[in-house]
Amino acid sequence: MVTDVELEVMSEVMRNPPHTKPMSIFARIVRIAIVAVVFAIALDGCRRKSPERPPPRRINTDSLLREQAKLDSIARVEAARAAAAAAAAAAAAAGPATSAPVSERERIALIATIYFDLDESVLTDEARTAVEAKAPVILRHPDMRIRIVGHTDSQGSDEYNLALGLRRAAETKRYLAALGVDEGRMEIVTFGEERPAVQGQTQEAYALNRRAEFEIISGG
Amino acid sequence: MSPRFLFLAACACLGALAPASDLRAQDTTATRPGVRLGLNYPRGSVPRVIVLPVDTTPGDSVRAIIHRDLENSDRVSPIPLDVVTLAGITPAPGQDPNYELFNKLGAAAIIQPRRAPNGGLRVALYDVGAKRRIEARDFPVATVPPVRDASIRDSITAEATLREKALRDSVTRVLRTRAAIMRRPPVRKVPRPRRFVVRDSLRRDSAATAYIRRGQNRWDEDRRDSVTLAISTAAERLIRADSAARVAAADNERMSIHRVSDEVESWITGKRGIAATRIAYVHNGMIRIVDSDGENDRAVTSRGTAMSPAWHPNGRRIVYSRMSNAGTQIEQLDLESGSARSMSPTGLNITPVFSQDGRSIVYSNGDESGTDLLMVSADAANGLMAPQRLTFGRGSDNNSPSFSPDGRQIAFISGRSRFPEVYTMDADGTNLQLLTPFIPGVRTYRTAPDWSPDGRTVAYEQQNGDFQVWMTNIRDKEPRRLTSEGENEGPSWAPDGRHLALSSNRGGSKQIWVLDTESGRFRQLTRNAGARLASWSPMLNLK
Repeated sequence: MVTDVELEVMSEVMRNPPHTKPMSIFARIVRIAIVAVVFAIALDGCRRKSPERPPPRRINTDSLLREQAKLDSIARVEAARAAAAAAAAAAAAAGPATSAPVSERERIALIATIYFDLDESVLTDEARTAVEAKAPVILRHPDMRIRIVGHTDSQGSDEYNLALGLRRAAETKRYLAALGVDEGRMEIVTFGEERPAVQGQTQEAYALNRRAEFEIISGG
Repeated sequence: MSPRFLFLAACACLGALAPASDLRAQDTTATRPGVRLGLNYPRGSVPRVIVLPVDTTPGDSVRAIIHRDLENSDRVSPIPLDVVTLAGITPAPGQDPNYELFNKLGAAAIIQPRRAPNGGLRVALYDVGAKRRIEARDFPVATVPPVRDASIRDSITAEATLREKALRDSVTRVLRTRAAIMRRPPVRKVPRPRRFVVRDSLRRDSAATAYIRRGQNRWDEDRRDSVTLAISTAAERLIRADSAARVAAADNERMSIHRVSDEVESWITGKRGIAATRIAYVHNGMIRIVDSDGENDRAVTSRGTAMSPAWHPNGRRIVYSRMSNAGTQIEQLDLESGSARSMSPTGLNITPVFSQDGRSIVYSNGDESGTDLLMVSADAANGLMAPQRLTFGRGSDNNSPSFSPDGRQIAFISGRSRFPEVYTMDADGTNLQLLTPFIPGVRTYRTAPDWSPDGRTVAYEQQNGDFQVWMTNIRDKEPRRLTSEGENEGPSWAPDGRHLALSSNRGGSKQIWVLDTESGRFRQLTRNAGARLASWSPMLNLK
């Protein structure tokens, strides 16, 4: 590549050609030597202009993930222990199966909405208690099928919220299954932040929108 | 040895390296192919320019479009001048501009668009400092046909009058013939003379026969009303089609002027502009598309709740997700024909993007064990091919993919570390790497990654109390915060790798804004409260 400056210099040379007076052999040798030195300096300069770039920084993804996995697994074991106890309680509360229609009290317990913390699909203690009240109702009515609908508040990525809503519904379904409800009787859906229960940009509205709703599809 | 001798020796070396042809024509002002001198302006500064009007009539839209495009470019600063001043300083055709005057106005360059003889634009760029023209080129410009409503109506009326007269004559002729046949005595040899006559000699008048068979034995003057109605209906339909064609032509005209702006920008700064692009976004459950200057905003989908638009690399197709009560589907829309095609299984299917070659679509499919990225063919023929699974999140969320410009890597968000973080991986799902470091157990939130067109950075949304847009350098993983006022979400890079479209509530309501990541300047793009999920198109070429 020839830069503009070099072009200018070259045209300057063409307009005022170097003197043509014959030179002594000594002068010629000196001139060649100088050319060589200039070249060497130029080459060295070029080398120095592009120093070694540091290699890309690599984050140790595996170790971070392993540490997180350990934390998660502790939480999972504790949850499983609690769920086993709750399942026994739910089975006891349900009693024998019945073909009687769902009573008003049962319906209220079943369709009660549960709420989540910000960016969480883990059930809170409160939500856990509410779900534990639902399980006996479903167990008592073997024909009943339900739909769990996950929602999120309007904060954060609208796209991620669709996935978060699904995770909330799935987590709820998993807990109901741990309480003894057959998985085939529950389906899950997400609407992300697209169908808020409460409009508004307040913390109260956000809290009321981070939820899972329950619908009876059939057998109710 | 004198310094002068050293200098000459160095020159000789350079001379030996350069091809001899480059030594010619250095002293001419004509532009030579391959060598560009460009505009002289202080490095690091934004050159100020004046865009002259095409003609001196007020309300000149070509000048207005170029002026605004350059303003939006953030690389060039056009000087706002009123119509009277502009008329005063515009040189007559064939004359050089008054460089001293422009210099006093503070302009480094002058852009003069004129109407070219072929109907396009002839655009010249003058260097005020060097006092010469440094570029000139002709550009094709799509022209908008004039309004033809009256002539459409006239020609339809004329045509209808002609046809009506023909029918009327025909009816008269049929009635006359029929009367003649009735007067003639029946002929024994031919069993059905009337039928024969009607079938054979009156074929040309079949319309008239039908008219008569409906029970009319004479020309019905009441029929005029229905004819008039038919004429006006036909005229309205044609006028509607004509005005739709004019709107499309106006779009193309604006686009062709945006291309002029982009080229002029490259004359001045060496970098092509991004005026000839569009931005897709979501408003009210519909995908809308708006030109880069905020004009020409229209909806391209109508039903359901559409989300997450993404452009095909050729700029003529988009892909998005559409939510209904039955689930959320991936849909492809051809922007020219308007035909949409659904192309995913039932269930939750979100955040689709085209691969860099446009042949595949990567999207996120969700079930009870979380969401994972899948790759399918974008072609209709291979639409039934089994999707290839790219992530194995083991119950976590893996979505919002964004391809690197070379198409070999994908940035996406994953919750495999419990909270959403940005990861990169090779396009086949291997070589997973974390881009945004975190401390295990500490809540973080990073979503909506978008890989920059220069491949160097990924922009994303991060929560630190409120939601803001950040970007991280791929090499050193050094994060940099880009926004602070209001809440700013869902960044999407412009093809220049310098501007970002994002949704922000800084103006009160949530709108799409354009951020210049170098100067930090913001400009509002949309005027639809609740606008979100912007996606910047590639450079749009002439059709």
